[in-house]
Amino acid sequence: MRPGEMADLAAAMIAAGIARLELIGPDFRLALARGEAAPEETDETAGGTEAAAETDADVIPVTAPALGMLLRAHPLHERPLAGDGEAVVAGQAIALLRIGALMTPVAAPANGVIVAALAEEGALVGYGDRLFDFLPHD
Amino acid sequence: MNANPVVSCLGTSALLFEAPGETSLASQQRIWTLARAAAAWPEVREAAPGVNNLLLSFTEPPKRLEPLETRLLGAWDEAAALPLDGRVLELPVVYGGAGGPHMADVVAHTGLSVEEIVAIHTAPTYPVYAIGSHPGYCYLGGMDARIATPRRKVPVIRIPGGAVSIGGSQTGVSASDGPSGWNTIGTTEMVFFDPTRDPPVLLQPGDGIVFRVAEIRK
Amino acid sequence: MIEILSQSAFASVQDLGRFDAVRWGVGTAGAMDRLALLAGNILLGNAEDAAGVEVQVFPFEVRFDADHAFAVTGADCAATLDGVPLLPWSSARACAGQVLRLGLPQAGRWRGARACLTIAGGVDVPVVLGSRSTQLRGAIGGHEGRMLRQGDRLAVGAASGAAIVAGVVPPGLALPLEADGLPAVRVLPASEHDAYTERSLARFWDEPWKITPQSDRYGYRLAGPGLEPKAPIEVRSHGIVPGVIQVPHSGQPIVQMCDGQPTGGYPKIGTVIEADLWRLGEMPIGTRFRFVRVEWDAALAAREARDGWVAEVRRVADLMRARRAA
Repeated sequence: MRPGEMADLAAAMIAAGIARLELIGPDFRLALARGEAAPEETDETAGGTEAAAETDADVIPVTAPALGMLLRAHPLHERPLAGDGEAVVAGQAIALLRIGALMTPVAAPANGVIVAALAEEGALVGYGDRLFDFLPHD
Repeated sequence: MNANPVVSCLGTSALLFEAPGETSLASQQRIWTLARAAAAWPEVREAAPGVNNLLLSFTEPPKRLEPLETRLLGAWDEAAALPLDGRVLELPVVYGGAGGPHMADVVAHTGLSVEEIVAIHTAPTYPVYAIGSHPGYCYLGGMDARIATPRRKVPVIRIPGGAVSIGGSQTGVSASDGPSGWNTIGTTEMVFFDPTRDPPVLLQPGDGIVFRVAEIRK
Repeated sequence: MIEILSQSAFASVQDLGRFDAVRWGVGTAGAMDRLALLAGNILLGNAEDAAGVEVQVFPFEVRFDADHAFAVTGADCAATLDGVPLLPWSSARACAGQVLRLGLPQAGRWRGARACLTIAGGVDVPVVLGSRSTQLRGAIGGHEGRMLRQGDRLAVGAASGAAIVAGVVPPGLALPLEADGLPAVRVLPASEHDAYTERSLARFWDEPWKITPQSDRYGYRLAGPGLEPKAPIEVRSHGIVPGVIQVPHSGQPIVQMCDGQPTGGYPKIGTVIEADLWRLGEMPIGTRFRFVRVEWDAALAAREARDGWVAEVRRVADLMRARRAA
C-alpha cells in the first residue's frame, strides 16, 4: 500500500466519521485511528477466516470493495437485499457499504447463495474485509 | 388600493414591488425606470416588470431583506417616467367569425354592435406595459372601458396563437396556443416570440400595438 | 442515444431550469425534484446542470443504443436493467441494447412521485435561453419543446468518464420534514397573507391539505378548508415563481409548480420555500401534507441545509472517484 492510498483512506474515514479502521491484506495489516491511540494488533480475523475456509472448500469469501458501514437492506426498504440462503445472480447487489451520504454496492461474485454473514449489520468494515461466506452455484 | 408602495417576498427566490395607486401609463413608465436600475444590482438575477409592479429574482437570497427594500423604495422615489419611445406594431385583425367565437358575448355584455366594438377596439395605440403570462405575450394598457367584458366563467382549454381577446378591462393577443379565460373577438398573425432572436420577444415594454380591421365576419 | 420505448411517456427533458427569462414571459420549467437530478449528475461526473429525463407516468422504458453509465434517482420505481433489479437512487452501467424499465413507484420509508434518469454526458439537446429544460407553452427547449413519446431518440453528450457506481441515501431520509406525522413543506407568508380571515389563516397553517388529481408540473390544486379573504382582493398581473400559493375565488389554493406561467393574478397567501420545492415535487396525488410557517432566517437556513446535503454528496462522490482513479 502506497502512502497516497493511506492518505485517501484517512480522508475517507474523516468523511464517513469513522474513528477506527483496520485493514488486512495478503501482505500487510494497517490500523488507522483518529484522535486516539492505534488499537493492538490481533490475529483473530485472519484466524477466523482460515477456519471457515477449512470447513467447506467450495465456499468463497465476499470481501468489501470499499470501506463503510455495512447495510444489508437499502435504507428505503425493510427487506434485505439478499438474505442468508437466498439465491442471487452474479453482479447483484447483496449489501451496501455506506460512507456519509453515499453507498457502494457489494456485488455477488457469482450466481449462488450467501452461506453466512461475517460482519454485523451497521458494522464499520474496511477495504478487503470478509463480509460473507458465499457458495457459488455451477 | 395601496397609498404607499408595498414590498413583499415570494419565498427566498424573489421579491415583489407593488406601486401605489391606479394602473396608468405614467406609473408604468416609472416601473420601467425602476426595472432598469434594479437589474444592475448585484443580488438581482432579473428584474421583470408586471402591471404596476416589479418582480426581482435573486441570484442568491440576501441575508437580510430590509436593505434591499430600502434601496428599492429609494429608487422608486427617484424614478422618473421613462417615456414611451418604442416601435408601434400594426396588426391586421379578422374580427368575429370562427376566429372570434366570443364576440357575441362582448356584444351581449356591452350592448354595442360588432361594428361599434371594432371601431372602439381599433382606435387607440395600446402601450405594452409588460411581458408575461406566456412567452412573448404583451400586457397592454389603454383599452376603452366601454368594451370591458368580464373574464369567462369557464376558461377555454385551448385558444390558438394570434387570438385577440378582451378580459375585464384589458385586451391582448395570444402569442402561442394555450388556455385562456378571456373573450376571443378576433384573430391576427404575428410571431411574438422566437428564442433564436436576441431579445427573443418581438415587443418590449415601451413599444405599442395598433389593431387594424382586416375584415369583420359574422 | 437512448430511445423511448413507452407509448404514452409524459416524460420530459429537464435540467435545473431557466431562470432569467421571466421578463420575456418564460417560466422556469426544470426538474420538479432538483435534488434527484443533482444526485444523478454528481454520481455520473456530469456538470450539475446537465439535463436528464423526468419520468412521472409509469411504467417507463428506454433502450440504450450504446454503452452508457446512468443513474435513476427520485421515486423508488423498482427499476430493472434487462430484468435485473437496480437499487433506488443509484447509478449503474448499461451495455448497448439493454432496456431500462421503471416500474410503479413503491411505498417504502419514503415515497416519491417522479423519477429522474440521468446519463453520463447528459441528454444533449440544444440550450435555449440558458437551459435545456422543456418549456411546453411556446414549445421551446427540451426535445422539440414537448413531452417525449414512443420512438423519440435522445442524443447523449460526451461523458467525462468519471462516473462511479454508487447509491445516494435519499434526501427524503437524510432531510426529513414532518408536522403532526404528515409530510410537510415550509412556507413564507406572501403579500396577501394578512388579508385572509383569522379563521382561514388558522386553517391554512394547522390543517392538512390534500393534493388533488388536478395537479401536475404546472401546479398543484389542493383540497382542504376553504380560505376566505376579509374583503375582495384586487391583484394586478405580476411575476411569480414556483412555490407561490395562489388562492382563486374557490378558496382552494393552487401551488405554482415548475411549468406554471411566470405571471399570476390571484391573491398569494404564501410561498413554499425554494429549499422545499423538491419535497412537493415528489409528493404523489392524494398525499395529505401540512404547511409549516417560517420566517426569512429559517428559510435561508433550510436552503443552507439543502445545499449542505448536495455538497456532502459531491464531496463523498469525489473521494470515491479519487480512490478509484488511484
